[in-house]
Amino acid sequence: MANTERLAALQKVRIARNAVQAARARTGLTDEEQTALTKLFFDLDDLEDSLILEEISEQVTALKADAKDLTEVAGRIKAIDGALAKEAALVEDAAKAINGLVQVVTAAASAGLI
Amino acid sequence: MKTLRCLVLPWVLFGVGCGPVLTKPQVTAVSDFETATKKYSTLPGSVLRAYEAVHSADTLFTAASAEGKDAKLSLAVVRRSLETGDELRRQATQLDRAVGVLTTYSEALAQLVSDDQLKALDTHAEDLGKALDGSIAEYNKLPHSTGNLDPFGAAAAAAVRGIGGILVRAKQAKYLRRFVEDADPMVQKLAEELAGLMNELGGEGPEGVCFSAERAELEANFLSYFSLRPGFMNHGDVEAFAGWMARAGAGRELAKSVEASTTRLGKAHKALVAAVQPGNSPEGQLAELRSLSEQVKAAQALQKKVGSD
Repeated sequence: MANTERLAALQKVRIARNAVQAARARTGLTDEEQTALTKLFFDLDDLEDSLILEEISEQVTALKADAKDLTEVAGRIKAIDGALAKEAALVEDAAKAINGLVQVVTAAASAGLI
Repeated sequence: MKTLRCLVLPWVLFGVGCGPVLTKPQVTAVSDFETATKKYSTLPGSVLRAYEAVHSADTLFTAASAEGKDAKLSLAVVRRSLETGDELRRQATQLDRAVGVLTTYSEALAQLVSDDQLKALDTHAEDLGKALDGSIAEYNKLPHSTGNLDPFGAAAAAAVRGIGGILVRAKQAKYLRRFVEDADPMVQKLAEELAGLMNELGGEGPEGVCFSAERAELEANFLSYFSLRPGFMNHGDVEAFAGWMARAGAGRELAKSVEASTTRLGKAHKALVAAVQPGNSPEGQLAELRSLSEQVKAAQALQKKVGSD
């Protein structure tokens, strides 16, 4: 049911609910009539609840769908952030390589190779 | 110092040529947006929870309007009220999660523009400088070396830090711009739909899911109590009605306030998109220059540090 149709239905249910509520207050009703009106009143209240839940649920579902797209962007941002960190780490790799080279050169010099 | 200039300056110019760098006002704009979304994130869910509380109370007053012979009908209403309450709270939790994505997104942006990369670069460049100086010292010890090669690790470290810092800041600026532009239609849609939900909850009239309709039903239930049970209503019942009517009114005000905040959030993201564009104004250019200057200063600080170690 489209949002506008649901809200129109909700309005009609509330109008009917109010009318039944007013009817329950009338004097001279038999017990059966009173019970029938109470049941109708409660049924309309139940219907109102269902329409309210549908309305809220539909809107929250739409919001969740929109949020999913944004989650995907947030994931991409985190991935790029990780890639930038790796680039910074390249400098560390260079430092390690130089250290390694120094050790090789020192060992070679000690052994009289150079 | 001369070596540093020789190494850094061409790269600074090259770095500038690579694109505009991230500026402090841009980082501040991201930080402001992050703070705002964090503060905002629990608001829409709280409106829905307030609505659930008022709606459940109203349903229980409805259940209480039955006579003793209709106790079973009344019990069915109480049970339904509990189920509806559970479902509305579940929806509020899902709403929290959906809105929480705005926080996840803004935190990711803040991390992207953070100084963490530069701090790591500081450490790595320092290690590189020390490694170079170490290798020069070892070279000078070699039998056939002249032994007079000056250590240039500090200058090299400064150059790496300076160039690396500029390139990192330029990349951060480029990605920040790309991501906020990509996300803007999503943020606007999310804000528009959230504002729509808050508008409905804070609206008036019998056609919406709103606090005012609940308040109208509370008032109808109140009158119904008197007509169905002629005589006095005890003070506790009157107080309960008054309390829930007040909460319905407060809920409506909260919904309207959150609707206004939601609209501002959408506008704030638009402002963020504008703030991360390369500045054509003198302020923007100055800010960019300041950012460049900071990178060079960081390089000089590192040069001193490595040199004195």
